[in-house]
Amino acid sequence: MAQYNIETANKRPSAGDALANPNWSPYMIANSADVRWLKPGYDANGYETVWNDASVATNGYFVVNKFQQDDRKNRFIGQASLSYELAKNLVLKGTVSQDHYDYNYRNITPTGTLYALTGQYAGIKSDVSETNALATLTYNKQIKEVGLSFLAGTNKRRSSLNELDQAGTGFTIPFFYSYNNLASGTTLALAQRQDVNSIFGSADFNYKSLFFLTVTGRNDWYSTLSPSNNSKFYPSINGSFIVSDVVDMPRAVNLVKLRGAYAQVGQGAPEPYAVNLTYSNVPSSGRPLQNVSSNVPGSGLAGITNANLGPVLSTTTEGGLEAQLLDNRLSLDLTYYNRLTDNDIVNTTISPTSGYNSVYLNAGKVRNRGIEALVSGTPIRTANFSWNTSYNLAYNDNKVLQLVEGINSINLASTVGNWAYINNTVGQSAFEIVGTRIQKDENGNTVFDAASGYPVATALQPLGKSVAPLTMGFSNDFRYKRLSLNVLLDGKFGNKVFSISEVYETRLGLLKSTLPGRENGLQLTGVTSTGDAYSRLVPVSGLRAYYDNYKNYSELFLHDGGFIKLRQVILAYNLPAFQISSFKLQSATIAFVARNLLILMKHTNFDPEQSFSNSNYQGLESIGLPRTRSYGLNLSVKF
Amino acid sequence: MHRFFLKCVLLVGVGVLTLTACTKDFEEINTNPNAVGTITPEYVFTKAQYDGVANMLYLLLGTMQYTTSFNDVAGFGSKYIASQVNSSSAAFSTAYPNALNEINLVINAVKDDPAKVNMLAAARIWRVYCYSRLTDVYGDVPYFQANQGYTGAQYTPAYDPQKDIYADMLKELDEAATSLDPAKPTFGAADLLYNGNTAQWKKFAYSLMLRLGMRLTKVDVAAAQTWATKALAGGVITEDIDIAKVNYLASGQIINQNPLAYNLLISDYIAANGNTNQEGGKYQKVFIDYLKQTRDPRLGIISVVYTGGTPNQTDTAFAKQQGMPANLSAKPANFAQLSEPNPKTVLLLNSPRLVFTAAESYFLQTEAALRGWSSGAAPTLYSNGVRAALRQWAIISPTDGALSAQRITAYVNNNQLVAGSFEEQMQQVYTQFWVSIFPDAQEAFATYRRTGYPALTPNNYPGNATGGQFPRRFLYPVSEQNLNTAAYNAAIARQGPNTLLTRVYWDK
Repeated sequence: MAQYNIETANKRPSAGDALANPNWSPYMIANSADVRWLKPGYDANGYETVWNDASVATNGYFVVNKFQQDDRKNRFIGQASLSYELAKNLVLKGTVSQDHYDYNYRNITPTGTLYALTGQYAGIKSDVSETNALATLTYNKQIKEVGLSFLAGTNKRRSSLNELDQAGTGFTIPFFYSYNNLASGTTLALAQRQDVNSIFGSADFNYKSLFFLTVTGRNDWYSTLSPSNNSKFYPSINGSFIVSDVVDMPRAVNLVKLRGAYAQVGQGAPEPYAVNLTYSNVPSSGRPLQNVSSNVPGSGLAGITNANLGPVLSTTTEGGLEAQLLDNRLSLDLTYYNRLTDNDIVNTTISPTSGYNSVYLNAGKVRNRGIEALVSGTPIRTANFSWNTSYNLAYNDNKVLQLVEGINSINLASTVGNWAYINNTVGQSAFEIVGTRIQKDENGNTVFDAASGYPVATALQPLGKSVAPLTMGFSNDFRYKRLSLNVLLDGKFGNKVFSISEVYETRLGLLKSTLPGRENGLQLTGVTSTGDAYSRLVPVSGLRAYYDNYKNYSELFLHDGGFIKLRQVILAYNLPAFQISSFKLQSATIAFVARNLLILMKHTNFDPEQSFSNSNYQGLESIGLPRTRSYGLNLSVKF
Repeated sequence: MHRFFLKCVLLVGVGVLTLTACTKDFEEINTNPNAVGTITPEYVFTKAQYDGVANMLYLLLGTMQYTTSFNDVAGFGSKYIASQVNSSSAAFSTAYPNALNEINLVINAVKDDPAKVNMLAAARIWRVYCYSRLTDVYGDVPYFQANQGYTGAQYTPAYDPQKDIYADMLKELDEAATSLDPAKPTFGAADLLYNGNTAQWKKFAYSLMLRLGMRLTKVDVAAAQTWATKALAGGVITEDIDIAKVNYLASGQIINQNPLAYNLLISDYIAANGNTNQEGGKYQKVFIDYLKQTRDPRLGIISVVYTGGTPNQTDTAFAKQQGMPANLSAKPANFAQLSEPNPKTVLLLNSPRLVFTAAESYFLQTEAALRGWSSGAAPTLYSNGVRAALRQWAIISPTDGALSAQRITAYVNNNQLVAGSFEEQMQQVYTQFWVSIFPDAQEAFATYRRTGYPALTPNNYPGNATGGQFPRRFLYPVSEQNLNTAAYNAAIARQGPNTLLTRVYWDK
């Protein structure tokens, strides 16, 4: 098997903060101004035109018209396998596979950009590959009513990355965007390798196709872990039983199946070189320079390695019930699970006063448990018309049970300006949003700092879950003759989202919450920290600074992140293929597909899904793009 | 067939065994081919010197009323607007993982080898310099337990009282200065300050001792006298050749270029046309007015206006210089005609950064004489200081910073220490100090807090965080509340709230 893909892209949009973010100006321009007035974003000399007093907030048209970004990935996937039947039912199979790509990336901050007047260059050239060598031996046997199958195998996985990072500032000849034209350029080499060696085995039994049992065992050795603790054995057992075939059931019941599983999965460190501290040269045009190597390639931040870094182990216990009722027109699927993740490897942010910005830790124990339910049915089924419906609901409860000894809380992400954090804290949900509130006294009065005249901010406290505990989906399929319609709704509930956009929008006076006081000033009343009555009139001239100061109180920018969306509508027509049977067509379908059509419910001014990253930053929104609504036509034919 | 089967099973078995045995090369696989496992102390020391010099709070240029901006964010330093207070923590977050941890690595690498005593001494003195810059701005900071994240798994170091930090820094300077031995090896060319010259390191150590000792005049005048006397007896910097400075290059890597010049250029003045300054920066009216009023010959060295907004058409004419008031919230109509830093001196990328000058040493000696702690004649020491301060611009730029001996003498003669009360003379000394120490705004900020001079009027800009008072310190990073909660809370409980008005130990 061989596959070759080429993927190219240019001008991928960037989100995040104000720099080079094309979304900034349309969101942040005064409500009374037309964003098109900023066109074309550059002057006669090709320099960015100023549109506000913060040069880091790039004119969106300048980004679109002058910034350059392109990347190209050439990917090759190849696999070869050979199997040999050594004896009846005994098969030896060897497989070698490789997934390899070459990647080129170039990002130009052009000459004339206000925050970097002479321009900047960033480039990446890398080759990345993952190679697997797998050997398995399988044996199958049916002894009367017992089916048996065994597997033993071994695998070696090697991942490697070779990368050159080029970065520099100042194009000597303006507007000429070559690495060689940089006033100051640096090329850094990055090489990463990691191996995982494995042996594994499994045994499957089934009795009369009523009772199934699978037992597995696997041992992995990880090169990225401490040599003294780099091996992990993990087993699993998985059984199911078709009750309805053994026990007499009412006629309405077609199938009842029970299942249960216990499984462990081990994992190594995602990045190599997390075990031993090293020192790297720092690019210099003068004397040689050296510092602690960064433990996050490219970040330039000194991090601590962990000589005892050991494997992650997650243990899942699961039970489920599946039922088919009423002539298979109603089905029900219920699952309960409990997953404990032990010794999760986290590159934890630590106080810089430790001399380092982060440390690799086997960070304790996190529990996820929950239920998942799926109900589906066919209320109507006639020759010409049918309606299928299904509804699923999932609830996940997670909790940080334990962290490293002596550490009660670890920081996973933070906003620009440290206006809010995502933390794991013992006893709270994982990925909890943490921040400040406005200090109130016991009577609910705002407490003011008498010297500055601003409300006092509380100490950091948990503000809510960043990951939604409750999710649902509701799908309906209608079919009339050759026409079918699928409508999918989905929703998430119970999470919070912190809006970085709104911090800026408040600073710039774009939100309704900044209206009070614009005519005659804003009267503040409350108490001082010693409990005396406090009042002050913020003059109109001081309102801008007053509202800008809101960013010191995280709660003001925190919202319920729940939503219900009309996610997808597909209208399809099954073409009468037999009429064109001369082409030997089996079937042909033409479909109109629309995605992200409507937000039916939300509690925010923005799309609650526009968080700026899916990883630890879920729950932090920052001047991003909402999910794009898309329409398409889809033709599929089968020969 | 059966035999073949057995062979195959055997083969797989051997395969499995070899594979598991293969973990032997894991250590090699998990070794970064682009990094080394041990430090080269010289290289890390040079890095620590660059980082220590580069870590400054630029906003202090505004606070000390040298510069300002009509823009609220960039103008924070001169306006102390409440909403921007957290930007003032930048130097704290940068100090530890860079200069301070680096110097710690160096100390750990050389401390046990008696032959490396000069390297150890230089590193200890440099550590004092870096910590003194940090504690002077923020007050109590992690000191004794800091930078032990790797060696001691100490991720949440305690904040130490500034009183204890000062006592230890002065002790360190004393010990390091006496341990220097000209017969033993040095860092040589890896030492950007003195090229390994132990006599000069000694003068730098005693000069720092004088600086830090004098800091204590308000809180513990006896200790101040003890340390100042000791420093003067040990020998401080008085000659231009002994000035502690780091030289830079005009191009190449950013770290090799003058950090203050680079930062000011990149953030504001690179367009060099007086008009499109990205952050709206200009010299502040207070500074320019003072230089004009005192007919200071440095005005034309420090300051330019751009004629007609044309790039690089600078004019240093005395009469044309005017600063921008710090109370503006929008770009003024005459913005393009206002003075800004001279690209040939203050913004010169290959100009040296002065870490400790002869002028500063003379002004501190003047104070010691005024207090009767030394036999020196205060007026002579003062004039020596003024003279050294005028000369030092020639070190920054030999071509565009040099003043003729005639002009220097004329200014010195017109600005002698006038007889008066102790307070009046202190005012004279530390107003001149403020002009002479530019652009090292942090040292001006420290001296202002200690002596009250120059008599600047704080800016009562709308929405300021101090109720219109002068800031007395700057803020710890908000992230410390999250990452080092208990230690942070203990520091706040002891020192006072994390605000601009809480006073550090020596400012009480």
